[in-house]
Amino acid sequence: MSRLADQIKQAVAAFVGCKTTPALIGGLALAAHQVVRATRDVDFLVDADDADRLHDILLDLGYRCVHRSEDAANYLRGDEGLDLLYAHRPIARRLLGEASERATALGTLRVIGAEGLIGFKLQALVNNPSRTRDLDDIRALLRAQRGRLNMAEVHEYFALFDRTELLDELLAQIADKTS
Amino acid sequence: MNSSPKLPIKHPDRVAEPLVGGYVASAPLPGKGDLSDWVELMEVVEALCPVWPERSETRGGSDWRL
Repeated sequence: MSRLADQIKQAVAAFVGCKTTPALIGGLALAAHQVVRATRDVDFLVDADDADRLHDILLDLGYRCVHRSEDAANYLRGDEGLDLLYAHRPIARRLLGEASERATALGTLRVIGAEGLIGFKLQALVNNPSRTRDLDDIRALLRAQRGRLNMAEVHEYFALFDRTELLDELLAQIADKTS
Repeated sequence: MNSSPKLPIKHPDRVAEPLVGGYVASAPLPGKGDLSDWVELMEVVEALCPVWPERSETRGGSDWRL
């Protein structure tokens, strides 16, 4: 098994005891929704109430904290990174609560839903428009999960960030490719 | 003495053209959904790139609404 897979398994095992079990988010969670690309970004959505507990857990595992705000934290251990997004607003708390438990090649993991994943990808894109990878991921998720997504929820996220025109554009692109 | 013909190094009248057309679609691989595809993919990636480049990006931005 890859070094990255071992890193994730170790972290997930150490998360036992959290108020809410963290859920996979970001590029790796894409793979649980039929979009597979190479990524070494290990991102978890976690309950903000678990922030201090997780901080101690990660330091015990040898990570050092390179950034921490009320919304997110970045940890590094050599060339291994692990990022946490803190769920403290209602939408993120709901998405964390609704994350599904999956039997995966890395063991049982909680994974955020595809709609929420699109929402967080959109938030990342809004915060850093040069990260076109996030836009590619959104497009790939819309394509891979076509017909299975709760589009009202997806629309809600794009409206939240004032990007409904972007959603229309992406859906039109996908329709063009498949027609 | 170097008898090789000199290669022109500038072509101001030429326009660079992509080799395979102007648009290359991103083609994410469809997965099984159990992360096994990603695990296999990353084993190959790690074999080809055993030393990862330094991470420089932190999660920035100020527009957090979710």
